[in-house]
Amino acid sequence: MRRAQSWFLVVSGSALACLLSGCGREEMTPPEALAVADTPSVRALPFRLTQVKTFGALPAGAAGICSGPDGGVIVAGEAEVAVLGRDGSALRRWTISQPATCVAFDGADNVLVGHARSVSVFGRQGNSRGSWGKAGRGEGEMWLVRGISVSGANVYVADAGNRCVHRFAADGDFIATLGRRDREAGIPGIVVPSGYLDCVTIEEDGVLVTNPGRWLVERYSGTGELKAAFGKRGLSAGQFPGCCNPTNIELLPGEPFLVAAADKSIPRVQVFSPNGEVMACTDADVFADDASGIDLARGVGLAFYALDTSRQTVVVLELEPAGPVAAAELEKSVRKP
Amino acid sequence: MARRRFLADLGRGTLAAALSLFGYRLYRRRDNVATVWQINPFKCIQCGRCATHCVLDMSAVKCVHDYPMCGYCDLCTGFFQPNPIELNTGAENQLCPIDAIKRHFVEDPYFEYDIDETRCFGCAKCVQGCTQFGNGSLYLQVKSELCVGCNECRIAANCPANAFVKRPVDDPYIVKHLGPEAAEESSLIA
Repeated sequence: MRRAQSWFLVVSGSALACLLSGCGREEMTPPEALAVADTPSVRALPFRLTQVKTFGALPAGAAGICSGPDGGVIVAGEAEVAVLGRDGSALRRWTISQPATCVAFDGADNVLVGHARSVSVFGRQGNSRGSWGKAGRGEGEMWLVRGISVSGANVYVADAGNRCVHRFAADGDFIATLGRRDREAGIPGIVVPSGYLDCVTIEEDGVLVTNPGRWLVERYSGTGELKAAFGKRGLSAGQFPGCCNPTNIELLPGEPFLVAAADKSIPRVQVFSPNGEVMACTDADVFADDASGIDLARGVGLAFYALDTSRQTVVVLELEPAGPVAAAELEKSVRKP
Repeated sequence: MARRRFLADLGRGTLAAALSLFGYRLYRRRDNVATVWQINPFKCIQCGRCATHCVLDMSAVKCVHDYPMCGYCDLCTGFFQPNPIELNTGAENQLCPIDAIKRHFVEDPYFEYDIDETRCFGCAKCVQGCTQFGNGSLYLQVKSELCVGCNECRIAANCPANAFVKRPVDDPYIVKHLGPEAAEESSLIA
């Protein structure tokens, strides 16, 4: 009897131990990521984007950046705006009353902070100069501001909610709407499936706008005429992947200019010539896998800033030639500051 | 006479013990809420085991579509292969192996994507594409009207992401656009 009892204890104890240790569970191996087309063409591009440095200590919930004074960068977050130097050191900070979605600096004394449905204006020292903008779906009204760009007396506001770009005067007076569908004028209309839209002004009265749902970068005049467009959907370098890219855009110095465009889902930054020829693309590991809405800001020379919204860091990238031929081309065609 | 009394006392004692135990069990269950199995879409890694490990012939896990999150894209990355030949409903262009997603034109350039649950078996290929390249509006949920409520769910036991939770039977589904905090709030750890 005693022997039977002890055998019973041994067997049941072993079974219990096995159960607790997970015997019978299959080995867990994480699945492979969805296959993405190999992009060996990145290595064959004439230029490369080198990650120069990265800096953090940004305002919490950083969502937008723009070129700051003296080659630095201005970062806008949920409750704060910070002016950073070229080395990432904080020069100035001030609080804001609503979360920021984007920011712009007019190069003189005005910092424009875009919120979902309005724009706040501050001086370089952070002194408030009021706000403007009306929420709504009508002409000149804003619903989801995601990009803002200033050039002289014009302020262009990329409104993802209304799927258009508004042109305002510096004091907030509405002037025109760009990007709405107009079959007669040959404008297909801006498509915004994921809430990302951005614009950047061109010196000679015009603006570049992302059209993510159509995988295009479009150029409009100040009166709304569609001048040109480039872009193609696809996974390779030089194409815009997924359902809706590019998400953000910036101009780099070039003759006449270079275009930097950021993608989500395959988080990367690509640089194009004005006619859409890809010149450089970041490597796969520069940004976090889930980074989206990577805002861009011009730096000094061919260096520029990119905001990794997932890691909450600013990455400094520099465009460099990949070989001697490209170096000569760069010397010839890229306008030095 | 003593033996009879002993047996009678034993019988009464056993009955009393059984009634006490029954009463105690009822007392312990007074606060228990009936629960059902569910998948937390914010933890799911689309491994494909929902399709293969359910005890039912056709898995009780189906893809659901959170329309407020959807971009209604022409190139839906949950519907199409990563580099489709053409943006049409040809089988060679689709991610779904069983044609369980129906694509309907809305207006240029928007399309609506609906899940045919009679065909879907929860393989998560569409969920993986939507999550990786899109807005993440497609995700897997256990359909409580199909699930037989195994005490130890075979899928849950083999989920590599520990994404299975228990939900109250009167609130069985997680609505993704309400966010991960709402998903955690009324879910119980499985």
